[in-house]
Amino acid sequence: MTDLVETRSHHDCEVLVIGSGAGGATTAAILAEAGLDVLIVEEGPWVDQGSVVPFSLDQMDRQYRSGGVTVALGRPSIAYTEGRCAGGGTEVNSGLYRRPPEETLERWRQSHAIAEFDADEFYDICDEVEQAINVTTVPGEHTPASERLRAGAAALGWQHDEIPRWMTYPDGGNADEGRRQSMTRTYLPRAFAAGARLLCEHRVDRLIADQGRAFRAELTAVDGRPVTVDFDDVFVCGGAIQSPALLQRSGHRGLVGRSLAVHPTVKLSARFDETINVSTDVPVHQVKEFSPDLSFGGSASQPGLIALALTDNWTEMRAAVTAWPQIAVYYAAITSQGRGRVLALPGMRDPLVTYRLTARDRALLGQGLARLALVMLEAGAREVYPSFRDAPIVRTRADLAESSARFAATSASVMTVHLCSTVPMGDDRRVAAADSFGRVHDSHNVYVNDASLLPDAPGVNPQASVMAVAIRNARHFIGGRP
Amino acid sequence: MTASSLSPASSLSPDGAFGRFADQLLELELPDLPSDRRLATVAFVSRRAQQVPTPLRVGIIGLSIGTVVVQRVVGDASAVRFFRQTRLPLIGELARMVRSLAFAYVWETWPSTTPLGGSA
Repeated sequence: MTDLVETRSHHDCEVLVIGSGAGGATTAAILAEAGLDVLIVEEGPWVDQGSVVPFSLDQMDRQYRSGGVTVALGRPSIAYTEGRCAGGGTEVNSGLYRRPPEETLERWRQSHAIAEFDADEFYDICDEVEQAINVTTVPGEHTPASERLRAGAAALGWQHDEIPRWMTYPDGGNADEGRRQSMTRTYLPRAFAAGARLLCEHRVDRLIADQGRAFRAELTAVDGRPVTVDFDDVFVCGGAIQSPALLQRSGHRGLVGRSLAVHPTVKLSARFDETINVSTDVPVHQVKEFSPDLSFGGSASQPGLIALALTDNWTEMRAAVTAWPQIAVYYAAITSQGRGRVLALPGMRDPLVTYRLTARDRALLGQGLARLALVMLEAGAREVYPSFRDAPIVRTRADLAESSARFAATSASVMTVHLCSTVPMGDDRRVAAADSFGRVHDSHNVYVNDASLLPDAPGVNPQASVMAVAIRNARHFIGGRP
Repeated sequence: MTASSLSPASSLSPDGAFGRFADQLLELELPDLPSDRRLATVAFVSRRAQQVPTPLRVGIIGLSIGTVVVQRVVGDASAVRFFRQTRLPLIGELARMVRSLAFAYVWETWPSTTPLGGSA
């Protein structure tokens, strides 16, 4: 298939693609299918689907950066996760798919002066992506935890939807029988079929340039060997944290890494009278009544994650931990007006990541948690356990008032899985770090093609946006070659 | 307490400053957790602490060494109680991090564990 185990100390290619996730895999496939000699470098290992338990600590060890323990410092700090394996985040995320709304595309086009950014063309690419990764709804039964979320929203008369996923199911198959159509099953095999090579377990330390033209990447293999790659052009697709960090280590500063955008989330656990926990799957329903400011959904609910969700008031909530089969974890996500930074520090392997929530963001997190708790009560939850320090157990609507009064965002366990906007694209150099097609402003041939390019967090799961932008930009690159 | 527990290089090992703090915290939080399980949990938490991004790791090492210093001044039990309960920014995150990682590990590995850490 590809050079997964590679001991050479030097490689040559026409185009180097750094990262193999939603941005990198699609970029590599489009460029390789156009006849270019493509080498993909991935820092993490290739892990076959099915060889790890989804959402387990073992998966975090093998497929997440830093074992899943990564934090944007701030008040509160925000825990985040990054995939670090062939296929990137698509191998480990929930698989939910949503196109960005037309208003979002228009906002991006205007705020960053993105040229040739037409919504109809964008959605044509989405059509293509949806076919390639088989975006579909669950043909059979949803998980009990998902059904509870739906029922709670319905009881309140709140707008809710099933979010489609990129999965294949057996005929009439239930939610937990899906097989994810991640990058290792879709765009990476396409890239390989067109001749692209993949080098796993190699980290790109920096890019070397001469007069604004990069020509070499310096890598370190997992065994510590130095490796170099010479190329004509390079696409950096390491995600919204690693891409700006690599650019900074390579001498690109300016606006790079200065505008990190995320969807901060707060969580709660809800206990029902019957077994609802399906630990290897996540709910597919989302509540969109307050979208785009707020949306509610379900999270992974392994017993360990249930215990973790109870730690903010362990003394009061710990008795519930043995009832984990009756408990599921849910989240309230907000569209944040805050911003963060990614800063590569001299002498340090990893960047410093910070994020500052605004006062409006903090208030919205509190509102979100209260409304989500209400959904759970309406869904029949016997007890609700909000994840903030000293949170009370919520059993009735009256308890919600006390919970809201005690809530402070600075004492909440805030996390995110959607990281965007650290190298925003557009022709307005006052706000954009790359041009309208991802070329870094002060470079001739360094392109970014991942979530970093999105001008802000889209308010929906960003994978559709990332893939469509990447395909658009890769095609533009091909069209511009002599 | 040894001189090596104050060394940045070894402070995140299970028998370094961080591991020692994690062990004492778990003894308080999950008093019924069998010692072999507590050792395995401390080893897991220490391994994760060694994997975190460099700037964060530097902070954890600093805080871990801080626990040793505070323990020398006020004694082991008082120090662990302080770090367990403090609301001070960043300093309070150390116990929160240990608790989160440890509890996730305990209940994923032994799902029938009782609320105080005992084997069901």
